[in-house]
Amino acid sequence: MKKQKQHIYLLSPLFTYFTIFFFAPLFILFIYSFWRTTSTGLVPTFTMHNYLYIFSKKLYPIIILKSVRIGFITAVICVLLSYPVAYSLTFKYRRMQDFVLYLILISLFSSYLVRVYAWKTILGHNGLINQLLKYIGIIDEPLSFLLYSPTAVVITLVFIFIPFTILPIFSSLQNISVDYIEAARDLGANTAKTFYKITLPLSMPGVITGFIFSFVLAAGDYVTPQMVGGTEGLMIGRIVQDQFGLTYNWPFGSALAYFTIFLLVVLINLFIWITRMLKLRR
Amino acid sequence: MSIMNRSKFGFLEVINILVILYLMLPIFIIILFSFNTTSAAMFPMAGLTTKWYGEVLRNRNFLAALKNSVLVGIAVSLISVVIGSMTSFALTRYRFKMKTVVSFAVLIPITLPPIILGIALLSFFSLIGISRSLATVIISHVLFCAPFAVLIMNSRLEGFDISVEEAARDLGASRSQTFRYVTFPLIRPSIIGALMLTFAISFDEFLVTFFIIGKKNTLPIIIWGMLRRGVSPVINSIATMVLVISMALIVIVNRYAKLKTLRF
Repeated sequence: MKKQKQHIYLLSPLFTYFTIFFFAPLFILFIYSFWRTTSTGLVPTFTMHNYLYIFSKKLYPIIILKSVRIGFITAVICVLLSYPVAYSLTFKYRRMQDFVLYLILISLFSSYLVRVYAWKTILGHNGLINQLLKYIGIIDEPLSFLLYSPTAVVITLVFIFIPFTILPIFSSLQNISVDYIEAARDLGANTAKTFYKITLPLSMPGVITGFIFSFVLAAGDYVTPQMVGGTEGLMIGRIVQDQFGLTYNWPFGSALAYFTIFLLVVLINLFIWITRMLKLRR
Repeated sequence: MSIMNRSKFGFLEVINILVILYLMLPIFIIILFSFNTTSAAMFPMAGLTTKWYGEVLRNRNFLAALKNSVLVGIAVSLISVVIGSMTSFALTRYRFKMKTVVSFAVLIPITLPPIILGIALLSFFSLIGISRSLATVIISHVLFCAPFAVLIMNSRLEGFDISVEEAARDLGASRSQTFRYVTFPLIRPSIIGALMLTFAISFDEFLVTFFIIGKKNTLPIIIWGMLRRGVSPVINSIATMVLVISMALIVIVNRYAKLKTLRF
């Protein structure tokens, strides 16, 4: 480790880039949320109107809450499914580690649109599940609730974002020394107690990272609700996009976006606070 | 494996198998139906054919979009890896104030829903009067590709033995000679891995691109157009080709830079 000013030179290209093309645009979007739209265009002013307008119609709070709920359910399912997988890859099936992680990485980095589309072919009216159920003879008529419902959205979102929870949880489990676990066992703790007192708290940073990733990305997803959600599965991404495309009300779109982010940040902090209250973290 | 010595088939095994099936089946189904002779995804399959692939490869829009995506991907990966590696050198080799804040700030673009990045960039480009083109697409992709380049380079540079560089310097090599003949060859695999991964991410990106695309389309934009128009028999074959390209890239990335060592 050197103690020179050289790190400034090394950091400056990325941070200059981020400042111009990331932080500045986000700031401009924030400024826009206080502007007004008139028939002639955008009017620079300072008004809370756009934020208040969110609550003027029932539609917007309902859609925002639904998006947050779908994001939350997705994140919880992702964590609950990922933990056993990451756990067994770390402690039980080490030989399978490389192979399974490979499959997860392939899923994570292969075409996002195609993976969402795949669920449309599976859940659709003439989709594979309906065909299979008909073939076995369980149903006569295809089940219509499979596609175009919030359930379809959650099934697809979990599929898309589960790598985002498996990888951080796996990575935090990797850092746990087997000595701690053996020590707990030697001191008389049973499997359940060892898990609750040692393994789980030490792996909590990974759980939290994974939860945040899947929660935020799922709540803000645009493609999945469009493709498999139907009218029942309408989410905030579509509403925001409409303001920038269809209705051309950028200030209101910005306000919606910032309000949703604000809500997500509050909920994430609540989640972290709860894990701390339950003494799940060291 | 003294902690888990029960080898009976139980809850963990069932969950593992279900999750792996859940992750793999949809991808498998897409690939399978791209060879189906009829256009609908019906079991049992009517027969095997490669005609849809021929149709895709003769499609001008597809080929133009493929070319654009490759161009964007190359530019994005080069910029991301250069600035990402520099950042990683700073984060792994220097001690400075606010280091945790800095290393967190690097990752912010990938924790933000893409739609928000999309509308923010749209507002920004229209405010300063830059018209939308492949250049704006390149600019935007670097924002979420550079963090991944930093992560890959971090995982290599954290375990880097600086004494080999010091030895080179002691033996009279200049700074640039040391970098060229000692440091660079040692980090080359990670650089190749980072180039491939950032290319793969850029090649696949849809939502941010959707807001700031100009007249020239990238491949995901073309695919989205097809998906919205409904089920077309060529979708599965385009999807398979895109899948195979991303999968091949990931297999290569993993050879050069072990992706499982990434620390989020």
